[in-house]
Amino acid sequence: MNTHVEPLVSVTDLTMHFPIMSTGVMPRRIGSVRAVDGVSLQIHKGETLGLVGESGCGKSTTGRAILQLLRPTSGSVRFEGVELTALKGRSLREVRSRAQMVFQDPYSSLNPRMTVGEIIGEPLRMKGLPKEERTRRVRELLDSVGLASHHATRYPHAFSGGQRQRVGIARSLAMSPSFVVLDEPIAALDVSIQAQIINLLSDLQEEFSLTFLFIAHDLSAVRHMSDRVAVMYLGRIVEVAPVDELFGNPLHPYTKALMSAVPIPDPHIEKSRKRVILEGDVASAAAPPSGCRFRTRCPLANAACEVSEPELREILPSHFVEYCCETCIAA
Amino acid sequence: MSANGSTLLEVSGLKVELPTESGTVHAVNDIHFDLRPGEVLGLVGESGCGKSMTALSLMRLIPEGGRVTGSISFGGRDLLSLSQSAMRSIRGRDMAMVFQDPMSSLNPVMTVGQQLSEPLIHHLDMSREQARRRSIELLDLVGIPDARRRLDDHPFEFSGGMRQRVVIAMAIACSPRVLIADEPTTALDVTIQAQILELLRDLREQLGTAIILISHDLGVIAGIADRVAVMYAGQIVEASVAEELFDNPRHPYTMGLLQSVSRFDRPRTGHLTTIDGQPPDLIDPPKGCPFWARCSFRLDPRCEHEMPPLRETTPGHFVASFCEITR
Repeated sequence: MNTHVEPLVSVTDLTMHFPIMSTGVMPRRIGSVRAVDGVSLQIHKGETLGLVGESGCGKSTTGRAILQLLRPTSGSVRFEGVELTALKGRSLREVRSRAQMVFQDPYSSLNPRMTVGEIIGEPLRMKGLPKEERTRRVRELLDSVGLASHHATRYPHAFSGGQRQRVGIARSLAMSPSFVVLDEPIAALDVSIQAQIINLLSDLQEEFSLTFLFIAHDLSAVRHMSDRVAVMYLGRIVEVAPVDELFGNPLHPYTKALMSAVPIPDPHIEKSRKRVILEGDVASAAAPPSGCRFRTRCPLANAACEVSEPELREILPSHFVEYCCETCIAA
Repeated sequence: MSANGSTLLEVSGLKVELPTESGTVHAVNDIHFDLRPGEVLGLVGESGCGKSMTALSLMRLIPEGGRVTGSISFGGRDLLSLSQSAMRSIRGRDMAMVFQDPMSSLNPVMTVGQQLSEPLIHHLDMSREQARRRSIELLDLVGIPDARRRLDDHPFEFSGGMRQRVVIAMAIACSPRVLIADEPTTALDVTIQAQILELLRDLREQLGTAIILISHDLGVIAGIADRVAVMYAGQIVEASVAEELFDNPRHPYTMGLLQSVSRFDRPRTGHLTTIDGQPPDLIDPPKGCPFWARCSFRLDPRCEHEMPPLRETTPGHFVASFCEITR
């Protein structure tokens, strides 16, 4: 990573709070769910940044807030040198054509009343591309995601989950983006189909020099796809490092627990493995614990964690950890 | 898989056919397996392979209109020929089931204590008071903190992982001899999944319950199963002791499946090995090997036209494939 070049995407202190309203005739705001609470990250041109965490940790919300599909409560998102949070309307749409998203559920993210050709060509039509050119481009896109051109006239229901996800990917590529947020792109697919989509994504990244934010809960897939990985817990990034460093030398107790919970398809290893089994559940994002947010489940929690003010520190070169106290983070 | 030693449950020639508007789906197609006391049998396969339908047919819970044939012998009786009321006395007492989504098996307007007491009162003739005491013990056993107080809570007051613990407590309430768990951790986060799998391992250890664990996740299966059966397109294509199956997979599908997952404990590779194509349509299943269209071996001229039988290739290792894959 060259630190002198400005990253393609630079997120600083991003927060996304959702109001909790009281019930009754005159609803009042009685609190907020702090889904994303002070996230900073950089994504460099051509790399894949993996974003992992469990459900409700704010990883999808982070992805959406970066693309301004949700307008962040505060913080800054710079993409290709432009501050996205300050843009709206036409100027935002223009920038956003270069930053796209692939959604988790290939069943609900495709309009069942449109043909696959119309779905993929929709962004091009909005841009005013003439029909013949559109048809040609749709054919190209279908070809690059491994579908045939005759698929253009068929409706989504005629496709399997894996094929639908290919359609979603083709649509995201229609505007020739430089940056794509992949939000759990394989979570809804069967194992043998997951591998097909993962390989497709790697090929497309190379072919079109794409930069990916790969959001997933599946650590094995993230490890396979990513150059760097960020781990999220309860609205905060707790650790970020190059992939082999993170998986080879996890420093945050949450990262360690997460890794030891991933089942390995080998009975010999599974039967002899020492597991860190976390107790309890994730705390509520409406009332996150004081100090370190992981302390309510952390096997190393001590009195210092309650009052600590954890912040991301570069403990080893390019390896950042949310530093709580010396008991929890032993480098 | 034929029986050697004592068997608890023996399934032979099981077929499940489900009529739909577009034709009859042959969801399970002539499978044989057995379950021994106290063991964990893993049923692994992808969506639509028939693993859930197999589980439902063991409990006689196949949706209305579905046709189940073959035999399921349990404690000397054929479950498929029992009357509804005889089956009801087995379901929940001798055999119990845990589903993927805990909320769908809990009644949202009843307290957890009421739901836990129900099978105890119904099957074991306990008094209300006895059932309540036993319910507290059960919640304790499945690791729900502060069980006495939580008994009067409703399901919505529990987190996903805790709900699944409640469902497991209900399933083991009458100390069944067989527990069928259908994707019990699929809806849960990985750290919660680890908790639930640990609980199932403990229960088997402490109570000696035999478990049929159904999952699409090879890692989950590797962590808990003693024996494994791999299902594809309504058939068991390979079955063996877990270590042997993972060490020496012999069916091209099992091999492909194991190769297509990126292993967390191994160096990263460039491309993943994939299985091209998709599983066949079970309304019109192929005549030959169901995996033929996606198979990269196809070593025998019979593969395309003849269904390979499940044969014991080495002691305890059963494979349904004409391609002799010995490496």
